[in-house]
Amino acid sequence: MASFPQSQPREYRPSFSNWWWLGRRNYLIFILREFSSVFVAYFLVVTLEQVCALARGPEAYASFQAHMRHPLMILLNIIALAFLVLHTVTWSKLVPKAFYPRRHGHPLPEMTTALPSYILWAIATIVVAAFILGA
Amino acid sequence: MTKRANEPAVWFLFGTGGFIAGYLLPVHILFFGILFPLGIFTDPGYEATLHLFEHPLARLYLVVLCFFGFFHAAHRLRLTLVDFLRIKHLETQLGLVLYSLALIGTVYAIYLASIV
Repeated sequence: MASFPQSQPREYRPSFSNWWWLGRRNYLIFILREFSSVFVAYFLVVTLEQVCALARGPEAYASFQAHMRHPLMILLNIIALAFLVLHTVTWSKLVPKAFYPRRHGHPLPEMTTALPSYILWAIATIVVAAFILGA
Repeated sequence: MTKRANEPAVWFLFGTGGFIAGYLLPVHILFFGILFPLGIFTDPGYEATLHLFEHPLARLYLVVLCFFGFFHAAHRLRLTLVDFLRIKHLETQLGLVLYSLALIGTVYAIYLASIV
């Protein structure tokens, strides 16, 4: 009777590179989109810094304003704005999809499901801008 | 299945946070981070901005924005870093650090809203 060497079964571990997110354009966009959350946190911290300066008085606020005028801060804020817009556009496209009913088994077009969110975004932007400029 | 029990609550916070931060933060960055520093629009200045933040609704706005925004960012960053750095085994510790930071940010926002 033939005997076979016994081998221990091992867990299958697919191997992939640490740079998997550079492999495809979609992966890269996914990672950029997800990392937009870093810029959400970043500008919340800046806003808290601003309110803290307001609470401390005119001199502290003047130094906050001077800090924001630094070219590197302006550059960082332009990049942050680009990521924030990416965040809002992709979030508006993604989340409502889960709530809309399908018509005749087909999902509604993305533009239709995302439109209410874009309208709310526009209203929020105008209202906040009016408060900021009218301050 | 018990592990999934709190997912809808977490998703509600996460989803709402995504919209609140997404609708409100771009206009904040646009004015306070780019247009005022560049002088394209005139900065209303200390007195007027302080007056704006003294309104009770503006204080509430600050706290709501920070609470939802920070927890959205913490949750999303946890999910992303686990995939990006491939550290599934550290997910609990990572979550603890990120949610703690979000809590600290929110508590600081409540403190500032109460003194400004």
